[in-house]
Amino acid sequence: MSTSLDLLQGTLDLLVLKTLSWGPAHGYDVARWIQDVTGDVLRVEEGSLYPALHRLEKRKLLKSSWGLSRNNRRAKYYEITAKGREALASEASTWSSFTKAVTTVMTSADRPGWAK
Amino acid sequence: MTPRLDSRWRRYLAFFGPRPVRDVDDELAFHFQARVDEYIAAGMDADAARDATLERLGDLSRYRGETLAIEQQEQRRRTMSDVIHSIIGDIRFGARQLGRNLPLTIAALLCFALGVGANTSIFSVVNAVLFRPLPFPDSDKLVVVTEGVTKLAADISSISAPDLLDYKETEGRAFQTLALVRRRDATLMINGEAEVIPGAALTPSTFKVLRVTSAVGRVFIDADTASSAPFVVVISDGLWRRRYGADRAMIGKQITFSTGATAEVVGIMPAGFAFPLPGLGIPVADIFFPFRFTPGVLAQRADNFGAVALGRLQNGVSMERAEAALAEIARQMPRRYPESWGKSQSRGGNLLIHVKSMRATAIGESRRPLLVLLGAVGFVLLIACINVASLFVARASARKREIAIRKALGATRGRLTQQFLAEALLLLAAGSALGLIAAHWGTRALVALAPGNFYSSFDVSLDARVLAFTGGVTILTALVFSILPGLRGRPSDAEQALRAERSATANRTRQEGRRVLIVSEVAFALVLTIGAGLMLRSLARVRAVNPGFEPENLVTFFTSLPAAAYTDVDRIKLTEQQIVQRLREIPGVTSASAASGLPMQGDWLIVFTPEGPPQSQLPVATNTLVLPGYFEAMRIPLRAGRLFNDRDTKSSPNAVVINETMARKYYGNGNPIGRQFKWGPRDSPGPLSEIIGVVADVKHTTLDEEPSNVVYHAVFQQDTGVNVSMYRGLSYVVRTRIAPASIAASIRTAVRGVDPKLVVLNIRPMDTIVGQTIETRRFNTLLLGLFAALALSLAATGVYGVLQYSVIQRKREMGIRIAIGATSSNMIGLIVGQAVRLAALGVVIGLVGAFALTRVIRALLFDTDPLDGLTFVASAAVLVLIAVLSSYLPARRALRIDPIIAMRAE
Repeated sequence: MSTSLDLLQGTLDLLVLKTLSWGPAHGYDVARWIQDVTGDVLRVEEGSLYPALHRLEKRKLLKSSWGLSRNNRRAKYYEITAKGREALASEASTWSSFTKAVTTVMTSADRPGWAK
Repeated sequence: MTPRLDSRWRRYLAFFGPRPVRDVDDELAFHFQARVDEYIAAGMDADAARDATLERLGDLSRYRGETLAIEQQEQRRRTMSDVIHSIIGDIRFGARQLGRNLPLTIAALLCFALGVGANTSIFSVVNAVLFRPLPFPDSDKLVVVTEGVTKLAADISSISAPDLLDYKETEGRAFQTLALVRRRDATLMINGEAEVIPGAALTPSTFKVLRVTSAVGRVFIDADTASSAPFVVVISDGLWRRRYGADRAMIGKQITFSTGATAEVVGIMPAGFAFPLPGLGIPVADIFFPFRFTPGVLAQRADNFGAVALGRLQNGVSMERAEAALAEIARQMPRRYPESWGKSQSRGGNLLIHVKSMRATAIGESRRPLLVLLGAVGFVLLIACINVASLFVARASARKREIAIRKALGATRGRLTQQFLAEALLLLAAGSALGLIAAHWGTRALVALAPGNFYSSFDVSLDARVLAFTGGVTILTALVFSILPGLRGRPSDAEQALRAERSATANRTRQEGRRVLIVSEVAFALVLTIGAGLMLRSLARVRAVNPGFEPENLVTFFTSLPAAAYTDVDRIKLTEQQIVQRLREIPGVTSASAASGLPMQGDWLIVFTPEGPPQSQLPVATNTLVLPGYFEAMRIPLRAGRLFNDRDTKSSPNAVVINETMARKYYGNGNPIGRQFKWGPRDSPGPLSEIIGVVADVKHTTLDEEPSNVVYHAVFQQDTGVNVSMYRGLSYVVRTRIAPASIAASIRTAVRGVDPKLVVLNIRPMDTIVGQTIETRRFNTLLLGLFAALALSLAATGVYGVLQYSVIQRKREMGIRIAIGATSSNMIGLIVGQAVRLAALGVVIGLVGAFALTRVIRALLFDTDPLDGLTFVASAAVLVLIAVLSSYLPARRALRIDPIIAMRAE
């Protein structure tokens, strides 16, 4: 698997964990929340959420249970576990140092030595 | 919005375990519906909402697949107990599946049982004859010792009895023990009826060589061979049961021979003791006498080679070393016995000695026919397996949907294979068990029906090797033919199968599999049919061979004039003439005569000296002493000169009649009549004879032999020497116009009319005797023909089954064809044509296979080209015909399809 995909998958995992840190939700809720918060900038293919959700559950970062939605439909609810919160914390700090590093590079006015 | 858990749902999960597919699908469906609802609420119409939702979701089937894969990862890690449980479950499930289509299952079961039964029977025999040791302890040390002389133009597969006493000097060094066996049939009086019992005279050491002993009573001891010892016999288990009601009190009882002599039964051999073994030139005996070295026997040194020597090698001594030890003694023979071997050396050359393994001797020529039969029966099994395989493939396609669902439900490929394997093993194990039972009887039948008790000398009981063979065949078949359907269909196929179950024309790849089955069945069956056809043609050719005389309407029997009552040579000759005279007087008899031996009933070889310069090798001929009228009664045509008549007596010059082969080989192109012939080597004292006639060649041992030298002497010109024993008992030939069976009583009356004490033995039609000489060929041909018939019927069933199934599967297509106006001949042509095309391909492959394989049976053929065109063409035609017939029925079935019902069928 290429690095960019890893990155993407990791990013999606991070978004899911972050979303669920606010409380249990089903897949559709997660999709809606990401859409709302980002102003639909991140056009995540909603189907791709499900492999991510199931993968995170397998890694015991999430747990799930079947319940009824607001309009009385059977829906699967996901909830973040303690392990999931730990993972979120460490992933989040990795992410912010990563984005900070990239931002620094992108906004830097210092020319590299060979270009002086 | 706290999730409210449905408790019933929880219980369901706990009970049945997770159901990943359904859960994932529910989850996705919920998402889909929620999104659609939202779009509709936002004012979109339903279709647009749906499209927008699908777009947002992305490649749904990919995500669904990925999610399922994640779920199923856990399922694959199963514990051992899960595996065992699943196997038990598979077997139960398999049994239910097999039970659901009972007729098909039973058909497959029988096919396989038949194949396994035939295979195991033949393999048991092959195993017994070719692989297993002879049924005697430590049997690899058993050898046969034969003598020969360098200059003799014939093989001697026997030994001169007195020499054994000299060879016994090697006992303790090269051999543990040596023994001597000679044929000695007995005529027993049982309930007033005379019966010839095949018998053998044995030295007591024979039992030590073979390491066998009697089941009841005792075997011979050295004291039994003394000339003063009471006369004792040992009898076989078979004779004991058949003639004496398995009475244990037989031990110590006297049995009576037709001569009036009696002997005490001292022992009964165990059941299964079949001796002498094949290859020793002596039929399996039912009565055993002690071998006595009488002065008469001792006088026949270097002259009469009528005995077979057996030995058990000393531990650690090779056959070569044993042979060298015997050869050392053989070299001394001319010095030890100047009167016999000394003289013999000067004309016959040095005495040779050969040591051969008893096993090799017993197997003889039977290896190739056995291997051919094993190969043939292997083909039968292959065809049976293909039938079973086609059943599995057909069922696999019928269960396409089931397999797809199970795959979608998370059954891995291995899991599905395991299930198919369980089903196949269940069916094939049952088939094998049935086959083994069939083989038990099949082997018995083979042993009972084989000519000359051939197999009875070998241990044909089921052993570990046979069981391993059958088990191996079963497991291999199960693996190969059951895994195939399990492997078919990739996950994407599965989805397709779930989604749509409609295909107006049958799926191409599945058709392909069935085509391969039909083609291979036809090809295998064709090879077998051609093989059997060639054998049949050979048999027909052998039967059509002219034996040189007319065996039809000819009855033969044997009568011996007892030495006690007939001491005078002239009285013997007179009595024999009287018997012939009485026979000729029987109403319906056209001619009668007698000879010392008849064709196909054993050979009496003599050394002779033709006219002309000495030959490098001593010429050998079959000798026959005949009464006047013999050639006329046998209808052996005269080619030149004259036949014997009543004036050829002791007072007239010695005369001989020779056959064409001998005339050509030893008397060149000139007229042999009037030229000289001598019985015995050049320097022997015997009188010269004049050749008075040349007669046509007669097949002397078997119908499929090459003609050899034959000389005929007149009984009336023989003197009192050793030859008296050769004409004391004569075989009579009676040519009749009435049925041979109805003349037996008249023959007995005629013989008793000459002397009431004479015993008439073996009244048999000559054509029966002639037929017996090709019995082995007939038996092998029969078996091969049987296998070919089996192969043909299996192939016919297979083709029928496959096409029948294909018609059912293509019901919809057929329905459409009928609905748009296909005529019945269109339909029949469609199905039969398909079958014939496949059969034709099979025929081509089969012909190529036969082309390569029939040379294997070249040695078994008689006057038949292994590539005989007629056989090839006829067999190919049979196969095509079978394809037509077995496709016609399914085609008719297709015609009965109602288009409306057919099109709804899927």
